[in-house]
Amino acid sequence: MAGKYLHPEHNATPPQVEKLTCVKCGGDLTLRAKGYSTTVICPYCGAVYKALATGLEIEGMSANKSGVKPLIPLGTRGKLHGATWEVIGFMQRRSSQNITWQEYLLFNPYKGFRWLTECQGHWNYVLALHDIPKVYPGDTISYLDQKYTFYDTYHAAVLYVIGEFYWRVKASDTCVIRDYVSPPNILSKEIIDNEQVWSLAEYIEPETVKAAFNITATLPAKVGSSINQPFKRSEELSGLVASGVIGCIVLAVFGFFIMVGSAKRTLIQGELMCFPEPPAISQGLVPATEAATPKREIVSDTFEITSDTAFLSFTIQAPVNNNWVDVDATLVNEQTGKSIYFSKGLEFYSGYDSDGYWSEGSRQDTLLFPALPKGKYHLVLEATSKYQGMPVKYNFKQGDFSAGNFFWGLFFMILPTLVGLGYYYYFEYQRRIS
Amino acid sequence: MAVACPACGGELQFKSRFSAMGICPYCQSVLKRDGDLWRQTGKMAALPPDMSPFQIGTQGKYLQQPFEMIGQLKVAWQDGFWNEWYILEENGNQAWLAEAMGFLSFSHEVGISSALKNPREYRVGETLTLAGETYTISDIKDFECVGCVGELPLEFTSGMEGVSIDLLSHNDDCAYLEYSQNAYRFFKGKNVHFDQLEFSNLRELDGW
Repeated sequence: MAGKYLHPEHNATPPQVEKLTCVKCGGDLTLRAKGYSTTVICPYCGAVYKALATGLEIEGMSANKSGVKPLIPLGTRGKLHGATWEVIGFMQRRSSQNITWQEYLLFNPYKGFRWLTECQGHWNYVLALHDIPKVYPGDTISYLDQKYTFYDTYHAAVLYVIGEFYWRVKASDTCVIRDYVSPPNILSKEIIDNEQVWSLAEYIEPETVKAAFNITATLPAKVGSSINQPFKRSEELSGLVASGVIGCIVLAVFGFFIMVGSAKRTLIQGELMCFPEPPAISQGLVPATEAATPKREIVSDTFEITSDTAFLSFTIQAPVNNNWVDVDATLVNEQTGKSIYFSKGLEFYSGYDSDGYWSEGSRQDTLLFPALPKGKYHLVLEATSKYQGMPVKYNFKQGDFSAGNFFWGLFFMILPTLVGLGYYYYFEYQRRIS
Repeated sequence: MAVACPACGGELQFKSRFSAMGICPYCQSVLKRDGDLWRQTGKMAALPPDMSPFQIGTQGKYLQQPFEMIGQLKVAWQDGFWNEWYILEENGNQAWLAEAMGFLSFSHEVGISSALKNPREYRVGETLTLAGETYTISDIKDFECVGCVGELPLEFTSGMEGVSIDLLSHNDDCAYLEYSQNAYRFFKGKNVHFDQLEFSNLRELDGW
């Protein structure tokens, strides 16, 4: 007599996947996990069978309440996490918050069972746990050295069920579920009667499921973010934050050294008179004599620029009112004879109109320019105004610093980081409201 | 040790010195040790087919120790079945690999001297002390022996009843008590993953 369980030298006969016929509807029943399955539900009519050592025994009809169709049909095989899995069972469940989700039971005779769950376009790969997580006060639990925080508790009812399962199952079964989250994982405790079952779910992208099971149908689009959906751009975000912070530090250090190394000091300051614009020379007027023309240009004392790297600034100040002043300046390097020409103007206007007092312009302004080679210099200055003469104060400094430019620099440096963080907090907000 | 089956003359190999019974792979005769003799005491029905990946002769390694499966005990409970694979380690020790719904646990029997109540008197949640450790009972199941294959250290017969008491453990540890034939046996071990045990000579499964 050739039994099915022989010693290896007698070649064990591989068990066949058993084909049976549903006694209720005559449809084909396939037993794919023989010896494990304890409940088999006809995918056509919902007849429920109890699997016993002696065979299948009809138990009743499943109260399948929804016409849901599995996205991955029973019997489909796919490769996930390095192993082949066959879909042997499918159920739809609904929570007390009226959210429905779908569960696919996966089987591999060598690896055991796994689940794929799909809720509002979000998929999870689920492993039932053999051992029990440690529970800490404050509803925190730990499993494999990872801490999980309590998220939600709800009732779940089975709406629809077909295929085979390794426990006794039927539609309208209800249980209490407690979810604990640590993205990308969820630890769930299902309490049915007095039994509790822990499972570990890991977020899996729909594209991965689609490719693994060769699904041709369009998978449902993701709605919101799920409670354990990992923030996929965390690498980019940390890159952004790091580059923003590093950039700001570099900028600050750079600014600091410019300030320190620039040997900030006033090189020369003084006052000069400005003169009104000469009237247009017209025919018939007596040309002004040489002596009557006041000396307009002034030449400053010699001063020394002591830093090759310090910014230079030229500030002028004059009591202009409804008037303008222009200062033309030439900076002469006494050693090389090279000169640099620049000019700076001031204008200030004010008055009254229907809205009251108004003013525009400024009585003081600064021109900032880059560093020049060290050496001895002097300035040649000449000031002109629109109407009347007045004293114009000037101040030529090295090592001045544009705080405005610095802060704009910082702002633009940190801007991408702020945008990235905004996106991240929006994502987490979506997760909380989901 | 090689033994000729008293019923059909086929040759049986007993690999473990602890074995008390064996099933002839040719004629399903149940052989029981009687001193130095092996006597036929009946026949064992073939086990109902299942998709277990293991068979008599499957080898593996647990904690560096090579082992071989030499016996199988299949039991049924109210909500399903499980297999207990009797294991002979290379160092001569015996062990058990329990296989239930794709979960595996590898355990060794530990001697107990504590006086235990009748299994009917225990309740889930109750604590008990075994071999110096205190455990909480997490599950109590009645089981019935479906049948066995190969060689086993105890005499099992189809329909024999027993009680399995699971004890709560953490960190992949497992511990359980089995009560049958008016005696308790205590097992301690680890929950293990299929890939951890480096199996070879697995059963070929149709289509897998």
